[in-house]
Amino acid sequence: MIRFHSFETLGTQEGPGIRLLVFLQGCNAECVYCHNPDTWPINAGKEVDDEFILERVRKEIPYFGDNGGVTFSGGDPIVQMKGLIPLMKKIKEMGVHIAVETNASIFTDASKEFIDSMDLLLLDLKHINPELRRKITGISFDPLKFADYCEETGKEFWLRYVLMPGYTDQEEYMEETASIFSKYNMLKRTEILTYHTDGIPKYEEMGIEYKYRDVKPPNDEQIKIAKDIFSSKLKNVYVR
Amino acid sequence: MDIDTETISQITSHPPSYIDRDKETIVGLQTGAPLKRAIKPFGGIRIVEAACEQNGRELDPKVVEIFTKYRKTHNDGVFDVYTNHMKLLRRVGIVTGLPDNYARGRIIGDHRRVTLYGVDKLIEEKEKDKKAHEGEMDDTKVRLREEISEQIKALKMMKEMAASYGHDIRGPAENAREAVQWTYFAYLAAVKEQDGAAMSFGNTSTFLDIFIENDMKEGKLTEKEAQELIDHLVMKLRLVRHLRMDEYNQLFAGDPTWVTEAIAGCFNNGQHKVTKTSYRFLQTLYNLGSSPEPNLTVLWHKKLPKPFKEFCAKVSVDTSSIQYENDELMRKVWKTEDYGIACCVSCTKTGKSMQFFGARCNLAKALLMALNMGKDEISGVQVFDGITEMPDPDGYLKYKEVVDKFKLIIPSLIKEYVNIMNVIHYMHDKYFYERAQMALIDTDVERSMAFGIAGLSVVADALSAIKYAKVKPIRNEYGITQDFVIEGDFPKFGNDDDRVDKIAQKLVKDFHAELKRHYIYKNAKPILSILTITSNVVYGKKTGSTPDGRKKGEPFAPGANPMHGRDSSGAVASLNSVAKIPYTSCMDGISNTFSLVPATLGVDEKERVHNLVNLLDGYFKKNAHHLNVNVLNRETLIDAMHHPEKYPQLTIRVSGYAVHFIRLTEEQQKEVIARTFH
Repeated sequence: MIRFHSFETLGTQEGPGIRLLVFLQGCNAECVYCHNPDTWPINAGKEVDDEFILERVRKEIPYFGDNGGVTFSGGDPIVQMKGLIPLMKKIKEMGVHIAVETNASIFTDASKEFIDSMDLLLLDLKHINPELRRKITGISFDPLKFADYCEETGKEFWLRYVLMPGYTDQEEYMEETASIFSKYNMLKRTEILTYHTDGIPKYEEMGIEYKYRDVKPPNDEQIKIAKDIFSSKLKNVYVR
Repeated sequence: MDIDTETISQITSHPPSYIDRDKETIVGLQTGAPLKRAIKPFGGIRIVEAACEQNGRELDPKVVEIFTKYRKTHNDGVFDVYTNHMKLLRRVGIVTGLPDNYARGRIIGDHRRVTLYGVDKLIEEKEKDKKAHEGEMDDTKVRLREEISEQIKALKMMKEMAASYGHDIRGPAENAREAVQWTYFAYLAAVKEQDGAAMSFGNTSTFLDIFIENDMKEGKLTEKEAQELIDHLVMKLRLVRHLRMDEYNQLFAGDPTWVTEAIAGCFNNGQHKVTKTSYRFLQTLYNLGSSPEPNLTVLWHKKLPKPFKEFCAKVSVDTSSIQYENDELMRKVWKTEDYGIACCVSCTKTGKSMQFFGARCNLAKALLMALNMGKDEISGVQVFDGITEMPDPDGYLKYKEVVDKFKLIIPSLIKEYVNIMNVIHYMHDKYFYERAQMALIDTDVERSMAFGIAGLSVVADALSAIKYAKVKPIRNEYGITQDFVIEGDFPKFGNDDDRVDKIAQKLVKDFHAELKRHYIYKNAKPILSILTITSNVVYGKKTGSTPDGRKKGEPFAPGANPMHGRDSSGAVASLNSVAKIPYTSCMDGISNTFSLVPATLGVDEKERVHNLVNLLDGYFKKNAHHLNVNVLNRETLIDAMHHPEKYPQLTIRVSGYAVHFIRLTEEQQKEVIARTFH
């Protein structure tokens, strides 16, 4: 059984082509810029079986064309990876492309099988610096192990990086990020996601204090700096 | 507004007129000057009078005298025959938008015939047809012989009109310029005589391409000149105008003319019809700027060449000016490989079939009448008899009881709806016959009568609410529902949820089955559309609160669309719900208007185009019929509402057609903005 949050049937931002987004319930981090706090608690949402998801996948197959597919996001799928692996195998048998968006925070043998079962990893890099990463997520981990494993096994991955002024826009760290990731041949695309405050109503609904009201979304200048830094060393850099 | 208030418009009523004679490669205007509107009082003199007056002009008293003292009109004929009950149905707004006070339109002449055969040959053939209908003179034969005679007169007038512009259209066209010009003359004849709601152009691009290719091969035409021919043709089509009264504009906003041109599609052998001229028509949206007219309609098929699909998607992303219809589905169901689109979405076999346009009935109001003892919920007037009080002892509506009552209302409504249509089309044929169009259609024509439903998603959601949630009506002292309290959640149409989608399916199947039980004028075949054009706003205004939670006066969703904001599972789920409505029960068309924010479609143009192509492929693979695509930000529309001067050409698809956004009424603009943007 899988803890499920919701579907978005026209995803185009999370992986290539038209995608069925499966938002899963539960996250092991509490990122400062998260706009889906309702997906944090692992016990919320509803429990569904594989067939519930597969049925929706079947309905959407005609739209996938040559490059669309299913993307698991959340929450963070990593907290349910053991349960997801069999489901991913069934989706794969249907000939459907699978992408998974994760913070890459848990690296075990199961994680390897998890990566093996997907076609594309959307690696949410929270921060290149371990200390600042901990500040953003509230947990300590090394996401580069995921990238290394992808590189070893020839699994394509995309980098996703939320640009939040004051938290993730330090130029020296962005430069370090670009230079570290320039070494990965399997990195096919980098997406800078501009921080936004659309999630605040959800915090209010849940009665959680949103501590970052003062932080403004990055302006054009800040976006350009980030894009230039990443583009200097990485290919296919996009801003969303 | 410029109106020719003196000349009763006919094919030859106006002398040749030009915009700038030396620069026009394609010539011909409806009246003596561009954008000057003509009067066509055969449809109804009071309508023309009102339209003139509302635009600050006075209709020539001589015209008024002729059409009040000596010559009866279509409108007069209809009202001579209407029963009180028919008038009541019209007054309470359960059947509205009827073509009893405007011309029915929707008949498409095969304009290519003039180009291909020349008019003399067409006259010869019609003479033969007339000869074939001799013998015992029963009503049908008398009427047909008169109709053919009228058609022949129209053909002769076409020759005369063309000759006044210096063209001899007696024989076939011999080059590209003649081909484009003569096809246009054939169309011009139609729009000089008729101001039908929708006056489609047809399916001409691939036909014209043969002449263009030939000239280019022989070195007589350059690419630039070829494009110019199409640009000039399209310019003329953009200039088509009809004189309308305010009441009409409320229903069909933005001054639409539905000069619909169908592009691409495939033959039954699998070969596609895309030519360079298909591109040239679409290219006019760049050369001349985006525009609602002509109503460019791409007949989508998975086998269309990829670059063409991508170009169409790019045009949608850039201009929001085109619509898409399912070629494979229409060819299969209509058994044809040569068809145009009448009005917004209606398949018509070119030169072989025609339809009697039947507007639509208000299904949401019908449901309320079932809950209200057959009374109109707004006025309290008794509309249908034999509907007993709704037993709701515990205060909640019971699904089965509601359905049972609704099943009593529908046949009564349909019976009277058919009667009304039969009257209207009898009189339209008698007093305002479309001789110019019918002259370009086979004498032995297939006829359909196009009925329609408005408020499908309202009723589907209402029944779903009654079935899956608890719905308590609040009634006034006369026992009429004023509002509904809904306890609990329920499946809503537009989320790809079979529980409610099947309700919608059943509604249209049952409605269509009931239509087939009746006699239809001239033995036409009844077909059904789920299309509202912009009348969803007017219908909503005339309808009380409904059990789905929609409040009194609020607009319905347009066409077959899910209700605003209720399709919350994303765009594909919304499309899938609409795709489930069976086209075989709704052969007049199932209109879906779809608005996407550019960012939803992709990060850059390449992605947007790619994803839109896949979206269309997917939707039509599901056997869906029609899709209007808007790629716009809601903010753009809000800004356009406040600063119309900044957006003179902003075009959006509303419901089977496109309009300049700033020409909509404020109410309609708000409704468009309230629609779901995925």
